[in-house]
Amino acid sequence: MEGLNMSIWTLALLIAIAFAFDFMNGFHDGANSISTIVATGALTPKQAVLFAAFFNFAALWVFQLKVAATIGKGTVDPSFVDYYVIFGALIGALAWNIITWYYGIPSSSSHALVGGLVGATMAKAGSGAPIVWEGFGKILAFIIISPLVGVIIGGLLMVLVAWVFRNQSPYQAGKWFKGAQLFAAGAYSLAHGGNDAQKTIGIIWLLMITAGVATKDVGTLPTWVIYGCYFMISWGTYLGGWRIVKTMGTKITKLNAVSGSCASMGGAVTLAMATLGGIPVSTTHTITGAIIGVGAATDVKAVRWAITANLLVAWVLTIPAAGLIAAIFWYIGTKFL
Amino acid sequence: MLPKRTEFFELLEAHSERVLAGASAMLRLVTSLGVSKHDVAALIEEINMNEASADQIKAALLTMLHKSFVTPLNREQVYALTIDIDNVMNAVQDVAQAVTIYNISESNTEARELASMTVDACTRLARAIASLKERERSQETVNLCVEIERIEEKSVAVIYKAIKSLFATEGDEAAALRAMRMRQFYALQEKVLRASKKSAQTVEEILLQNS
Amino acid sequence: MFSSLMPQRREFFELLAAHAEQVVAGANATLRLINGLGDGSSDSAALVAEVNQHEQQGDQIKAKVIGRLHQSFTTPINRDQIHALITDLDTTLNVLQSVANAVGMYGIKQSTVEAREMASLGADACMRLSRAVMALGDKARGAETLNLCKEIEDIESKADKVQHKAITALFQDGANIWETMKMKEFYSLQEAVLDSCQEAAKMIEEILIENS
Repeated sequence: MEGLNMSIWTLALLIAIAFAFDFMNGFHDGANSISTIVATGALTPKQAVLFAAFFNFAALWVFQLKVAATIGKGTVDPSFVDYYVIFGALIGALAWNIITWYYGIPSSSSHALVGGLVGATMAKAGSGAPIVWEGFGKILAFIIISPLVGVIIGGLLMVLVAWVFRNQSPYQAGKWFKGAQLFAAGAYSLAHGGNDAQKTIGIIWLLMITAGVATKDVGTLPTWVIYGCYFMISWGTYLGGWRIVKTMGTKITKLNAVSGSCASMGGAVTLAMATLGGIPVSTTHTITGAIIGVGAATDVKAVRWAITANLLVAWVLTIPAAGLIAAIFWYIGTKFL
Repeated sequence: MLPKRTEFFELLEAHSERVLAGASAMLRLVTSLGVSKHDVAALIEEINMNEASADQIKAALLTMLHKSFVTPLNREQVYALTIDIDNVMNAVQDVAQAVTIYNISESNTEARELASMTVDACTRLARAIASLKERERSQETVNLCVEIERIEEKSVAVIYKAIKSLFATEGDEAAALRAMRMRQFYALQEKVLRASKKSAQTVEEILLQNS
Repeated sequence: MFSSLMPQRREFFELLAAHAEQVVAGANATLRLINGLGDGSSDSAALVAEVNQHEQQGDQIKAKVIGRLHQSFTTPINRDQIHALITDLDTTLNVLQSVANAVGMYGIKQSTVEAREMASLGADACMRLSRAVMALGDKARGAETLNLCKEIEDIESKADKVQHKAITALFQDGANIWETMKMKEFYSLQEAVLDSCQEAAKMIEEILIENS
């Protein structure tokens, strides 16, 4: 291919790793949106995973590629990036995801990706010069802001619902939420797909800018990349959603149809706002924030403070840790790739 | 993982039918006291068999509760109802065993009245459980539960009368022994009725929450 | 943070307190009934009727609480705990009724020192129980409430000793077997009052610990 700045095989390999990252994202988070709808019997597990996967994919037609743009050209200077950097970023993010998954820390794959990208870039530059602070600063700020907004919206929704249904038992009120629940879970899956698939699109875009097959103009991005990323996250959700059967009796017993709807809706609204603003945020942290908000309204003891503490650790640690691993892999990459 | 909701109800129904079978054997037992020793032994055996079979149903229900991801009604409610129904069965068995333990060889109006009230209550309980699965029949179910509670309330007066007559005249040692054993027997009969009432209340709570 | 914005539903505390008042009234009537046995001047039948009446009022309050539980989205303390506490209070009142009715059922004509002592311990425990229930809604009074619960438990163990002494006396050589049988049943019903007060006190402690 004329003008290609790297071998076609390296490009294919890196795209494959990016797709794998995207798939893992869906696989991890797929169960989040559907656990309550299955637990309350609104849908069977099979219907629920199809439902979530469908809305993940449908986000393709809903959201503009603003988040992808932030990752692709708004976090680090694309002219500085080479495929070693992308390799380091992807492997760093994947490695950090695996480590946190192993220790059960609800880390964010989005933060890991951004951390990996910045870490590998800095390793190459030897300084923070190529960082685009406007974009990266926004990402850093929203690490804190998005869960907090999730807490507030989730909590306020719960308060609103409690006043509307104040003279009904939670069970009776729950009947009204059979439909609302599906709506909220659909909205959440949509927002999840929108924000998360675009992060991978952004990375591949950056890769293609580096390889010289695309430019900063969104029109130069091949549509198969967009479809591919949305497909991978949906497929991951479809397969990973099945794990819900294992998580039964642990997380889901804490949420019923009503609080589950409020949490999903709180998460969906927050994510959608971030996606419309082109800000890559952590879907896991946002939904966790919304669950905490709902928990704080209904029963303070239902809030799992241990998880909340883990979340704080993940906030502080993810970007530097993923960045460090990415820097190491960037170095290894320059030797072997 | 996802049993049909009917399986739970079928097991609950089967469970309550065992209880009813046990209760009706108990009524026959109480009427046979002092009439036929042979019948008494056979009836105790019949009650024990019903209890054993009820235990198996209870175990199957609990296993299903543990394994199932989705339950009709709320998980705790199905659990509570299973335990309540099982308590009725155990109380019936206690009455049957008391016959041998306390060497009870006579029956009287009050003991028979209490036993037939128990059958009345258990019949209604079995019917209430059978109609529980159909939401349209909830009013019928509630009525049955209220009837069970009425039966229990009426039994308090029967027991009061029965015990009062035991202690009204202070006779010899044999009379004292008889008073002790019969008082114990009545107390065990009362326990069956109380357990039936408890089950009825649980059914009512389930209905209230699901209405 | 958000919990203060939720509907508060303080009426559950009021209903629980109202029920506890019926328990106290029932316990006092039972005490008067037992103290008056055999002195010829008191009207046992009227006192038994009074206990029965309090029991019926307690039943109505309990039904109201359960009805309200089904018509409330939020509750000030855990739904199950409200249910458990009202059930414990109602059991106390039911047992008091059994004690009052046992007087006629066993034809008890004369009370004993121990029966009177048990009855007054029962009244003491019920009085503290009612004070504990009334303070339940006020978080600032947690320590005071906890203290009342401890006192109820102390009273219960004191009653255990009294009952022990009473039963020992019943089984002395030369005792009248009829007297022994009747009073043994009677004492165990009296003890059941204190047991269920203790159950209620433990429930209150559980609520306090979980909500502190």
